[in-house]
Amino acid sequence: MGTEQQQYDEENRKLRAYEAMTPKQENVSESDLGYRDMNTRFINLEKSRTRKSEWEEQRKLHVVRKRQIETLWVQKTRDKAKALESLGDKEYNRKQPEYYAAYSLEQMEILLKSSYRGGNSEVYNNVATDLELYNAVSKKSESLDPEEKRLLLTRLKQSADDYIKSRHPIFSTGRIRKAMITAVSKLAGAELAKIEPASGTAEDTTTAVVTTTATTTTTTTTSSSDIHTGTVSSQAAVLEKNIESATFADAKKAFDALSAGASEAAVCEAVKIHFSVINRFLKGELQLEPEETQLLDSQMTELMDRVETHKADADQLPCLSTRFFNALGWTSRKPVLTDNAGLMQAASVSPLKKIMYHTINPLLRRKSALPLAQQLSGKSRHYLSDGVHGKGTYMTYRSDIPKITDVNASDVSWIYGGKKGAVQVSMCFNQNARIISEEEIIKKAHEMKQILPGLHDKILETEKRFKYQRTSAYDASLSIFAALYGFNAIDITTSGYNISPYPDTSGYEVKYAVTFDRSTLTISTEAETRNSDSKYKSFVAPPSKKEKSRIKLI
Amino acid sequence: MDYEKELTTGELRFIEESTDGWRMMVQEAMGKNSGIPDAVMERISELEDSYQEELLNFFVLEKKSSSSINADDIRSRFDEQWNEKHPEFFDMEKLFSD
Repeated sequence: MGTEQQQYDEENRKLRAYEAMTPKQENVSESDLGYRDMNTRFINLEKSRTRKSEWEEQRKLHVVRKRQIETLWVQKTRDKAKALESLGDKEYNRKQPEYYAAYSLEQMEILLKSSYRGGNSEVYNNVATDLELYNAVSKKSESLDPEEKRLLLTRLKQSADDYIKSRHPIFSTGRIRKAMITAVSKLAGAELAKIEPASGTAEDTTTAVVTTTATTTTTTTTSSSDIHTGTVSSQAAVLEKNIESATFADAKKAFDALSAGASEAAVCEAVKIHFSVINRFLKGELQLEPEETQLLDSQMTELMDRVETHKADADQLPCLSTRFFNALGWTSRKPVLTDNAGLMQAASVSPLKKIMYHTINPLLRRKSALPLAQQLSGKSRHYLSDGVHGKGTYMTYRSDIPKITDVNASDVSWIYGGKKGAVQVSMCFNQNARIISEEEIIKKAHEMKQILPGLHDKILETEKRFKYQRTSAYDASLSIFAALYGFNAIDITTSGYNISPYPDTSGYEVKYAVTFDRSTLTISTEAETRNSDSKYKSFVAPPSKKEKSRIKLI
Repeated sequence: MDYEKELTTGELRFIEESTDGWRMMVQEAMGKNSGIPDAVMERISELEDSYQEELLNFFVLEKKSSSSINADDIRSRFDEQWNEKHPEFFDMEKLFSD
């Protein structure tokens, strides 16, 4: 540390001398973000002494940044900044986001803008744009509508999280930018936490009228043919709100009220209440005593046993995930439908800002997969496909990594539709999507083993699969774990399509995401269908223009 | 056997999609192994057909013997059996080298 400190002091001495020769600049808009990198580069350049002009240029920039540190915000945290400088790389990376989190979102916008060093990726630009938009709207309107604020902040947080996810751990460069965007995510999250959650959003097109008493629950469900109208009755909205704010006492009451032969509806109601409590508990929004946690764990485990005996619909996969999401009511949720032009527009503001594809083969001797595609678009309850990254609808999308081959997401998706009559549906995530990376949810699921061991083991045991290469310990059960932690989609990080010989370093050119809540999707009703079988079953080439035609979902 | 009568749409779809993830691995492996002879491609496609057909039969039998079925459980047991018979199926290197 002594050597680093000496270098730092020597740096400062030189800079002060240089500053004395340079006219003072007021209102400097440069940031301190590159300070540490600049400092290292400066020392290295000084050592070489051969590239004097570059050294001079760098030093000038360094002075500007240094002055900004002096004059703008870092004055009060100078000691902290200095302390950070002396840390090892690992510690530095860990603490840097906290340092930036001391700023406001407005200050972060200035910092982001002034930190440009070229090579901005799409995911980075998304964060910058969303941050700018949020600040502009916040400034303009003194009384910003909470719902609008919530949407803007959610989008900003999502963009920031996407950026963080997109940074491969092997990248050592850009860590300051990552730290900065981590801070943006935290700040946006903190702002979001201040806003009361919206009530009754994105709930299905199924209108549910529910009345409850202390011990009994009756449910009447009426289907609506218009999938664009997401109307929820006021009574249902009130109930939904009550469930959202349910306490451990409510969960215990609901559980104790269940008799051995309780109806499926009553079990589902108890599951919803327990889910809400567990969800907020796992997110740290609800505190529970150790004995309450233990009881909650055993109650929910028993409820899962009961859910396991529920019947899935004939067009659903009979498994715990389907039964669990049926009980929560998630499989009744519907996507937003639009046309191709509408989809393009929706994708430009969607969380991933990508068009995604899902392709379905017709079954056995059936001529078309259209009924299955219609099921996805909301005709009946959601079919959760089986898969080793969680259960749900799997979609391909083009990643942000530099293009290596000419493969595209639509072509990759056709791999799953080699039969005549296969249908490819295009879609994008919408603002209802709360996406977590596969890597993160595996970590969280692992953590849950310590918090709610009974429930953890129950899910894992029931959704267990034969283990072969490329499957994680959690695989098919990931969707349930993600939902318990408050997410409704998983961005897959352990698999994807990439024929590059270096997948570990270049990432996947075409990535996958899986959702178990159709309200996260905006789907185009203009689909495509394959007109002839592919030559080989296992090697499915995408159909040429002649081999496919347009088909309407509804 | 009339599978359409024996199994629900959801169960048939599960079997239809049972090799989706595997097919993706095959496609990717194929991208790294250029010039694969037609005979090899034919054999791998037959293997996929065989997997789905056997899973279909297995599923029907399991369904008859149990009142409450869990697709994961059935799949897990089937894969274990299948892997013993065809260890190359889940091993891409082996699949293309055999």
